[in-house]
Amino acid sequence: MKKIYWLTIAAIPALLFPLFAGSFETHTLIYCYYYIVVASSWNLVAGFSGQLSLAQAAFAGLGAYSSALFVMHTGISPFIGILISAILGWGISYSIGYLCLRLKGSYLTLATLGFAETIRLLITIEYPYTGGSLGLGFPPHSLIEPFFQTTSKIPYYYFMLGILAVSMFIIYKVVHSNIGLYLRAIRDDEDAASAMGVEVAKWRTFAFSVSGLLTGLAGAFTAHYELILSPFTLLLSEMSLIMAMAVFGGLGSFAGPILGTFIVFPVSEYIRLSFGGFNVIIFGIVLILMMRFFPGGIYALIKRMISRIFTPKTISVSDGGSSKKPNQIVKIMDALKLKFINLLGYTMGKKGNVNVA
Amino acid sequence: MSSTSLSYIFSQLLNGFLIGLIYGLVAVGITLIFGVMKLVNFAHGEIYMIGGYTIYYLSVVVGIYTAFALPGSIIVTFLIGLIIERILIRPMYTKYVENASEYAMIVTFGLSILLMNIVLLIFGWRVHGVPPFISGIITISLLSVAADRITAAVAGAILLVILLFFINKTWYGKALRATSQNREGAAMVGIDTTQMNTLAYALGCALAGAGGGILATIFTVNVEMGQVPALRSFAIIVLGGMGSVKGSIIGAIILGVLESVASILISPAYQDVVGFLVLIAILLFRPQGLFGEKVRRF
Repeated sequence: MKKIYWLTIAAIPALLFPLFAGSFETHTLIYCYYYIVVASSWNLVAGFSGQLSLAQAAFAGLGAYSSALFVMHTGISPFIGILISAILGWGISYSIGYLCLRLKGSYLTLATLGFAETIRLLITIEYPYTGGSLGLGFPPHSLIEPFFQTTSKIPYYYFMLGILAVSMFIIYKVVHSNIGLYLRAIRDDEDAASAMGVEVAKWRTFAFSVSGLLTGLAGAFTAHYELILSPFTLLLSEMSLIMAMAVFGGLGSFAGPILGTFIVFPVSEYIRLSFGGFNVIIFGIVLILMMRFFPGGIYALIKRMISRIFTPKTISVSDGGSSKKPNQIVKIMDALKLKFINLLGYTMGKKGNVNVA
Repeated sequence: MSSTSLSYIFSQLLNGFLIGLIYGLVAVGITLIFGVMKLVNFAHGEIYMIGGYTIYYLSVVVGIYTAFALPGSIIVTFLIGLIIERILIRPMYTKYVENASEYAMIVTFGLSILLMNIVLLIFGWRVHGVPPFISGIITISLLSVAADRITAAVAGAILLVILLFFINKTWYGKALRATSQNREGAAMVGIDTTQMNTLAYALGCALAGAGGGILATIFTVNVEMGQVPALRSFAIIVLGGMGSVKGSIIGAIILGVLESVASILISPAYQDVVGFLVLIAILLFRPQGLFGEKVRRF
């Protein structure tokens, strides 16, 4: 019941917003929603399953280009174009995930980086089809779709809100189900999770393909909203924007990317509009400082603050005062024991894994 | 086939080999860092770029002969690597037990964006050139290759030999290899693994800087110069086997030759796609790479 209560509180202003706001605010909010979807799906991979993907911007761009090209050349409805892009995003992320995620190590990161740059390169080279670095502009859609022809931003706003609701529902369900537990177990210790019977490759690939699907969906929507596509959205600086949002809000939490997007995106837009391209520097600084000092992000900070304010003082003093030191010592002892067992394992059990470096 | 096209093919292949040799330097840098710290250094391309800008600054603005300016870019990037490791990366490994390398990778990614934009602020988008070690064209019967490429490859080969000597013969090199093979074991026999982290990162950065400095004499110096070599090096380390120094040198040469084959057969524009295709092929058929240890599969 409590969840429905919170949901209504969030939904009412979101539904009523465009009736009161101007077109610039609506536009900004549409992009906020878009980035929430993309950052949350990146967080599903990086924060929950512990694998770094660098292709989220590429999946979004690929979704945009593929939907635009489908609709331009075949004249099908943009709705179907968006769906096709989502399925394409799922297919490609599934195949990359299938190749890399069955292996232990950082292969996914390397493969997604290569994929992202290759897609950008191909779109720039194949200018007869994609418009190259000049961008691809395409006319408003065929007469079948009155929805996609309006110049008003309000219908687009509600469409994006729908995509946001569906995506967040899917991510929420994944994170708060057994799958979410599997993913977190894998993130914390792959070998232990595998020993407990979690199918590591399967669930990691699942998380990655869900993120590809949702990103493709959101990216395809932006194509029909903007009506002009630029290969600059495929640059790694766009990826750093997505990462900065999720990391600033809090890696590995459901609410983190939402919070992070609402803070980082308006600030970045403000800097871009008033100072010119220096917003990219901010993403770099945010990524470094947050990872260095607050890896839990803003979400963890707020949570800690709230729990500090709302915990009754007497209990926290007596409880914390008496149990803090032994707790710490027990923790250290446990860690030492684990280290020792590891050492024993290394020296006695395993045959030498010889590495050539 | 006429002799001109034949000589074109031969000189393209030789070019691929020579440039592959220098990319080997950059890739060995990534391999060293990955082997010791289990961290893929995404700032590598930007360190490479800083190496290029340093040699540009020393040779064009200050006016030192290019070959003497090269140690400058090695030293500068070594120091930058030292500082980055000390300030940003070491805390990640002491603060977190789980996911330390994932967090550190996000830091290096942020660092690459930051460094690139700082250099952009200082030097702008302008493309600069660096005078080659020796200019002119060397022709041996059918082959004709630009002298700057030959001299650059010789410089790269000399640095590789010094590096291999350091890794295989000196105490520090042996300690580096020991740490990358078994961290706990190395710590047990008295190797300071934290120090080895610093050494590996700084040395890796110095190699990237050396690669950037050498290739700046052939190509141009600009803000985006590091992206293609970095991508290529990521493909190379998977091709050679993650963590294998020998593998990355041989992988770099193979990829260099393959790219020139692709540029002859298809089009020079598609040259940079080859790296990704090789990476996918390796992941499909031989995930451990050419010389790597067997990868754990789930």
